[in-house]
Amino acid sequence: MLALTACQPDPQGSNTAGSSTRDTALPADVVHSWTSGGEAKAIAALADAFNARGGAWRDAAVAGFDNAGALGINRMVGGQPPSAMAFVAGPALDDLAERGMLTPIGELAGGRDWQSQLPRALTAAVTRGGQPMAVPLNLHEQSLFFWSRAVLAKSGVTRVPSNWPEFFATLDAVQAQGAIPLALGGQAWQESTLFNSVLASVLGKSGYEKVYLARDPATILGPGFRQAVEIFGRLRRYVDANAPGRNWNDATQLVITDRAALLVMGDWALSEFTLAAKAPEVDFSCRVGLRDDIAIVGSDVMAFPRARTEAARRAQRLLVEVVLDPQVQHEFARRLGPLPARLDAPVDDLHPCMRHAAGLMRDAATAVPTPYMTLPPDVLGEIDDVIAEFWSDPAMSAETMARRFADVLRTAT
Amino acid sequence: MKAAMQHDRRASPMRERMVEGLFIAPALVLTLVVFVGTMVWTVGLSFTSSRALPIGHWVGGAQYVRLWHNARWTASVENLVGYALAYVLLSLVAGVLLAVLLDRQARFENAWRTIFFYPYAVSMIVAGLVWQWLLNPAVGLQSLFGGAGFAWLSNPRLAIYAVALAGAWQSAGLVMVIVLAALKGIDPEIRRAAALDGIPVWRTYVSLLLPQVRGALVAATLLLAMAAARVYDLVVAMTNGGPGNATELPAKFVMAYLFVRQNVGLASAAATMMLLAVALLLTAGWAVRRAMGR
Repeated sequence: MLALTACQPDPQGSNTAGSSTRDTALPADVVHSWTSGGEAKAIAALADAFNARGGAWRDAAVAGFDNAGALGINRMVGGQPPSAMAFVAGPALDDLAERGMLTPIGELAGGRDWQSQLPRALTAAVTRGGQPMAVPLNLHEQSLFFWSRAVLAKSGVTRVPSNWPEFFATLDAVQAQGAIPLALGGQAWQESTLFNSVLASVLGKSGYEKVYLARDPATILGPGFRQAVEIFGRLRRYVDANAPGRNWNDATQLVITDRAALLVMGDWALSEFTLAAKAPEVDFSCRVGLRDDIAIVGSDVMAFPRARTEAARRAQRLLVEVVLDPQVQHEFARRLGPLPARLDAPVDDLHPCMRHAAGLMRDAATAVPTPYMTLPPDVLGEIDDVIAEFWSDPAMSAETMARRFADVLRTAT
Repeated sequence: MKAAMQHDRRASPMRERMVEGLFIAPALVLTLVVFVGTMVWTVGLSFTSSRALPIGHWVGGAQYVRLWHNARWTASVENLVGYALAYVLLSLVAGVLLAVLLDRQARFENAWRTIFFYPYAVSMIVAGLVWQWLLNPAVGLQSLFGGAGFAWLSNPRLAIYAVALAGAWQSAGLVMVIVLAALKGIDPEIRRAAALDGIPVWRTYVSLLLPQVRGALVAATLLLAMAAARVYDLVVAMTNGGPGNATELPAKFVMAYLFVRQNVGLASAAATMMLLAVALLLTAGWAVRRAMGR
């Protein structure tokens, strides 16, 4: 709703610009799922910039990432494509790009210099057949550990844990004090987010990449992976009974309101902390992974389905210009939480958490890609299933879980 | 023979049949194109390697092999069996009991009938949400009565039966209406005779009246079984398949692979299996009714 109201063309603005702008305003409808309070403010930054340059943004927000994707693809297949659609960088783009349903960005953007302003891994993630097929909007960190300072203080913990023994001692102290140690949203993708953060923090960059990039069975069936699974399993006892089905923003609220000690989530949760006027290192602490040394990065991108009319293509060109603008990317990122995708976009007034994380996220030695970037959606879903089933079944052994995990990656095409 | 006899009864048979055909044609075309057409299309897709889009190469039965090796699918099928048994049984028992109670010339019968039938007018999504709240440990029955015992939705072994309970709450009214209508149709002499003979009421129902309405019972069972086979919205509203995949069901599997996991081929294979299951149910129901001489 916020995004919708923010997107109404400003009547005063259009008056001063003259009636000609109104007549030629280029309408564009954009399918995305940025619908929580903080997210809606962020998407309004794109909408405002687009409207200010003569566009007419029509918000097609759909609650739920999966629902938005389904709606967008249905509209494309049905011959009523949206002007633009938010995706995450990775194999989810493959089919649409392969079938020529997306417009190569080269046809919409002036010049190629923008490509040199993106992290190399990100350019590769959106390029198909030598052509970039989507515009990266941002760079997400997906393994932030958010700690409530108030809950830690009440539990007698003076510093944020940075190794597993300290970590479990802290959670035990919180539990003894009566607060919820771990705020978890009991949905498969959130359980996977937690698992991947544990995995990355246990295995480090090379081990994590052996699992998700090389799909190496020896690593998955090895002791490091098993240790990660066991740690993940131990976390069950620190979650409250209301977790099943809980949304991520509700889980985030548990930490914001000092009812829970820890949230492991992507940087989009920062927008909720900001919205609640919570100060970093005063009200909460954030760390990149357990030890503040490994970042799991993903990226939101915008793809532009093949348009039928020249007017629609002009609107797309304007949209591309807007979303590639370093200032717009900066404002979008500032409100949403992540880094701007462009390396030349300012970061100095971003959230302190992200200014710190930026170094780890942009350094190829400390950044690993999220599974969204490397696994096709069906394989990703099956991995989610294995993780969710293990989480809900304390009787399943770490060996069984690892074997099934390896099976999914082995049989995937 | 039958056709010829009908022929004789009509005044101008050719003309009437043409008019009949004309009236039926739109519905027939619609049924063929929309229902049969999409079914054939789906079955066809299940033999292709289609991923995000319904275009792909012929891969034979590979999707079916993959389907039956998929842990979520096999769990979904197991869950469905548990759900269907509990749901059909609970709905039948509750529905028949309600019908019998109302059949006993209860006062305010109309009001009671409306109240008991009302949940059926509520969509499965709403039923699911209501029961999710009722079973939520923090705000539902558990907090009302204090203590534990109602956290079924977070228990992987009980969750599917909690969903079945919600489904039965919604559907029992339908069974009640069907059975009640059939009970009302029984010759009152039978009841009078039973009463004269001093047969207890429960015995009258179990041995005399319910066997008389077995056609209605079979019809209700069939309706319930088909509703169970395609249940989707209820579980989405209540558990979204969780905890783990304890309440995943085939219809949800199809939706997930169709729209989220971008594997149209696998989704079509799963949908074809569901179609087969429903076809088997219908055949079984038809055979039962035929054996009963109806």
